[in-house]
Amino acid sequence: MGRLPVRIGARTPPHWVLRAVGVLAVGWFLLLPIFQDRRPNEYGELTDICILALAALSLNLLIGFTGQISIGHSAFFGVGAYTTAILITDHGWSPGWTFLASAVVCFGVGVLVGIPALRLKGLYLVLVTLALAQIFPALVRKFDWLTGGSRGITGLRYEQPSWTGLPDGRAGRSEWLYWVALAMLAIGYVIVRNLVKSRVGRSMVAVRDNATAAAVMGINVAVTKTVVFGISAGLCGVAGSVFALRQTQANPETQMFTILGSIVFLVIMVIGGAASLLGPIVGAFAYYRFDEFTRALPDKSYLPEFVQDFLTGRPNLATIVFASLLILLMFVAPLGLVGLAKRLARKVLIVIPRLPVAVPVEVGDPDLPPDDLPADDANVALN
Amino acid sequence: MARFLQYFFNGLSNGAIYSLLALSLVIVYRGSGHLNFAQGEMAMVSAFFAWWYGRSMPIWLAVIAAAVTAFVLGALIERFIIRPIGLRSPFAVVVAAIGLFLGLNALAPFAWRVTNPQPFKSLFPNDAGDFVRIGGATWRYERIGILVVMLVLAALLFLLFQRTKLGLSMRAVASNPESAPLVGIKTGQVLMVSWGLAAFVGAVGGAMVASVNTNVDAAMMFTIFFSAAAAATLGGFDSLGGAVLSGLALGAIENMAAGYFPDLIGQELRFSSSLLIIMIVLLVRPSGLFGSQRVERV
Amino acid sequence: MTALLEVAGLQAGYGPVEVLHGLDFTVGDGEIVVILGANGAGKTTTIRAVSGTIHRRGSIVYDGQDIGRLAADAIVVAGVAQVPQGRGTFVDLSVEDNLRVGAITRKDGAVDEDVDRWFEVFPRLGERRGQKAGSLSGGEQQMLAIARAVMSKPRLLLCDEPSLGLAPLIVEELFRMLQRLNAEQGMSILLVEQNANLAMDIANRVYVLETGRIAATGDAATMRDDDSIRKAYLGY
Repeated sequence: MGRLPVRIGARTPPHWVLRAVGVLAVGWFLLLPIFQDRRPNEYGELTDICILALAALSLNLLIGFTGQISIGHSAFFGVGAYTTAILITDHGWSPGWTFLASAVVCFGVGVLVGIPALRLKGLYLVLVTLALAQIFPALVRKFDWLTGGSRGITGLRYEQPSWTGLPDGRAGRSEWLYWVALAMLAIGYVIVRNLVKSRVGRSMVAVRDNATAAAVMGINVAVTKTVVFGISAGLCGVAGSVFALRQTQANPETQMFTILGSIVFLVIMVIGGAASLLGPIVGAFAYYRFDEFTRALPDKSYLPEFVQDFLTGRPNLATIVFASLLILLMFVAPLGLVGLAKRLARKVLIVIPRLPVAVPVEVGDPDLPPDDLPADDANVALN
Repeated sequence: MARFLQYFFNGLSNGAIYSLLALSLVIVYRGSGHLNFAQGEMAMVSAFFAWWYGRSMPIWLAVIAAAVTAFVLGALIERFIIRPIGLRSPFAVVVAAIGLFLGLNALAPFAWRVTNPQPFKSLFPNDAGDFVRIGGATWRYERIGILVVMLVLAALLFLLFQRTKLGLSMRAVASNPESAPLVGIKTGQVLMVSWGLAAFVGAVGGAMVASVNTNVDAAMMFTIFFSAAAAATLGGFDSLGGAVLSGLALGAIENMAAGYFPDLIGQELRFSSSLLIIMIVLLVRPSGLFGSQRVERV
Repeated sequence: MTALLEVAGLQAGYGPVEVLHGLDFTVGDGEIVVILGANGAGKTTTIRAVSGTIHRRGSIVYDGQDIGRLAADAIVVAGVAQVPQGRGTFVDLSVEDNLRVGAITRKDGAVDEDVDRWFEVFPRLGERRGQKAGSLSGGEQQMLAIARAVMSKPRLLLCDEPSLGLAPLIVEELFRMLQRLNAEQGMSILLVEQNANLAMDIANRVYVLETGRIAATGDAATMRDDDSIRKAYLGY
C-alpha cells in the first residue's frame, strides 16, 4: 500500500463504503430538487436530461445485448410521443397510463422491426433503421386524420395529482413532470441492468453474434434478439411519451422525431460510453451542458475584436463548435466519458474482484485482473 | 405510354445523381469498411466550392476545380480524422462521421457568410426549347446531361479499378486489408486515395444537383443522401456496377411511385418509397442484390 | 557464405504478451533455413516479426540494411516477401490479378512474361486464370500464394507453414517448387514448419524453436541424426 493505485478487494468493507458514497452522491444530485427550490425551467432542463438518458439507455441495451446499432430509435421515440398525444386528446386517457400503452405499442413495432433485423448485419441494419427514421415523419404527415398532420397535436398536459402537495399551475406541473421522468429513467435503468446482468444477458454478451455457440448454451438467439429489440423500442417509446408531455405537443416538425433525434441518442450514448450502464446518464448530462454551452456562443462580447470581426455575419458557429468538440472527444475518449473516468480512476484505485472459489490466498492477489478492463469495453461495443 | 416515359426519363436523371453518390459510398466502404455519413455533406460543400470558383472562371472549370478540392479534403479527412479514430475504436468512427455530417452542414454557410440558397448556373443548355421528344415525352438536355456525366464517370472508374495499378491496389485492399501490406501496398495511401476519389465523385454529384436546382444550399444533399445510401445498399455496398444500376432503378421507381400514386405516395412519401424498397429487398436478400457474401466490418 | 538476413535479440508479441524472448538466427545468401517448432512455440510470430506485420524489438539486418523499424510494405520493396499462414490470397480477385498484385512494387515491364511463366509452371492456375482466387482448392491457393510472393522478385522468401492442411502429395510438390526456386534463382528461403520430415529434406540448416527461444541449431544432416530432435519432431 501507500503507492497508487490503491488496491482493495471487492465486497470488503472499504468497497462497501465507496459504493455507498457513490450511491449517495448520485442520489443527492438527482434528488437535489427536494432540498433546493428550483425554477420551473430548471426542472424542465432536468426533465429533458432524463428523457435523453432514457432514450440513450434503450440504445445501450440494444448494443450491449445484441451488438446492433440502430439509428431508427427516433421513430420509436416519435411513436411513443404520438401514442401518448393521441390517447390523451382523442380518447381522454390519463397521461400516466399512456406510458404503458406507448411501451406496449413500441414493443410491438420494435419486434416487427427486430425480426427482419435478425437477418441483417452491421451496415445493412444501420441502413434499415435509418430508413425507419426517415419514413416516420413522412408517415405522420401522410396520416393526418390520426396525427393531425403537419399541425400536430397540441395542448398536452400532465396535471400534478393533489396527493403530491405540489403547488398549482406551471411551477408545480414542471416539478411533477421531472419526478415522472426520473421515475421512468429509474425503471428503465433497473430493467436494463437486470437484463444485462441476467444469465441470458451474460451469455448473450459472451456469444454475441455467434449463433452456434449460443445454441450450444441453450439460448434461442433469434427470439432473444427480437425481444430485446422490442424492449429497447419500448423504453425509447416511454421516453418519447414523457417528451410529448414536456413539449405539451407532438409535431412532425420536431427535430427529435427525425433522424437528428436518432443522432442525438447515439451521440449521447457514445459520449457517455456505450459499454457502461451509467454511460447514457452521464452522456445525457454532458450532451445537454455541451449543447447549452455551444448555443450560448453567439454572445461573443468577451472575444478579441478581430475574432468578432471574423465571426460577423457567419451563422452556425454553435453547430461547428459542437461538431468539432464531438470529433475531438472521439480522439480523447473513444470509449466515452465513463470509459475515460474508469481509465483515470484505475490509476488511483483498483477493485479486485473476489473469486467465486474461496481460496484465501487468492483474495487480494495483485496479479488478478481488475474489474472491467477498458480494452474489453471497446470490444463489447462492437460487432 | 408518354406518361410512363416522362416519369421514366425524369426518374433516370434523379437516379443518376443517386448513382454518383452511391458510387462514393461504395468506394469508401470497399476501402475502409465505413459508411461515410458525411458523404452527402462533403458533396454539398464541394458544390459551394464550385459556386465560389464559378464567380471567377467558366462554370465547368469551376466544377472540375471543386472536385479536385474535394479530393484533397476527402484524403485529409481520412488521414487525420477517420484513420486515427478508427484505430482507437471502430464505433467511434460512426460518431466522428456524424460529427463531420453536422459540422460540414454548418460549415458552408459559415465559411461563405450565406444563409439563403445562392444562384448556380446550369451546367447544360436549359432554355425552354432545349429538349428532345421521344414517344410523346420530353427529355430535357440538362437531364440527359446528368445521365451522360454519370455514365462517363462510372466508366472511367471502372477503367481505373480494372486497368490500373492503383485500381488493383484498391481492389486488393478491399479484398484483404491484412494481406495488402505483404505485397508492398501502402494501405494508408490507398485509403487516402479512396476517400479522395469518393469525395471527387460526390463533388460531381453535388454540382449536378446544384445545376438542376440552379442554386446551392446547405440542405441540398440531405434527402438525396438517404436515397443514395439506399441505392448503395441495394447494390450490395461493394459493387460499383450495383451502385450505378440501383441508383438509376431507385430514381425511376421513386418518380413513378410518386407520379402514378399521387394520393397513396405522392411527394410526401416519394423519398420514403426507395427506403421501403430496400427494407423489403434486404428481407429477401440480406446482402443486397449484387453484394458478395463476405465477412463484414462495421 | 555471407548472411543475407541477420537477426539478433528479436523480441516480439501481441499487446502485453511477449512471445519471442530474444532470438538470434541467420539466413545465408542462397540458403534454405528451416525453423521447427511445436504449436505455440512462436514460429508464425517469428515470420511476422521479420516481415514487419507486428511490433518487434531487436536487430533485423537484411542485406546490410536495418529493416527492424520498416513497415511491412517497405520490407517487401527491400526484397523480402512473405507467404503468410492461411495463404492470405485476395479471394475476390482473379487468379491473374493475384499474381499481378504480387508484382505491384515492380517497375520493370516483364510482369506479363512472369505471369505467363507461372501459368506454365502451374498449369492448373493457368486454366483458372480468370476465376476468383477464392474458388481454388487449398493446394492451388497455396501455390498461388507462393507464386504471388515470388512475383515481387524477392531475394528472401519467408514461408509460414505452407504444408498446413494440405494432402501429402501436394505438400511434396510445393516443397519441390521451393527447392527449385532456391536452386534456379538463388532465392534464399526461411521456412517455418511443423512438418519436420519434408522440411529437413530441403533445408541446409535447422533451428529448433521452443517457447520463444532457440533450443538447438545445426546443419540439417547433423540435426537429423540427433536423437532428441528425431524423437520430438520426426517421430521415429
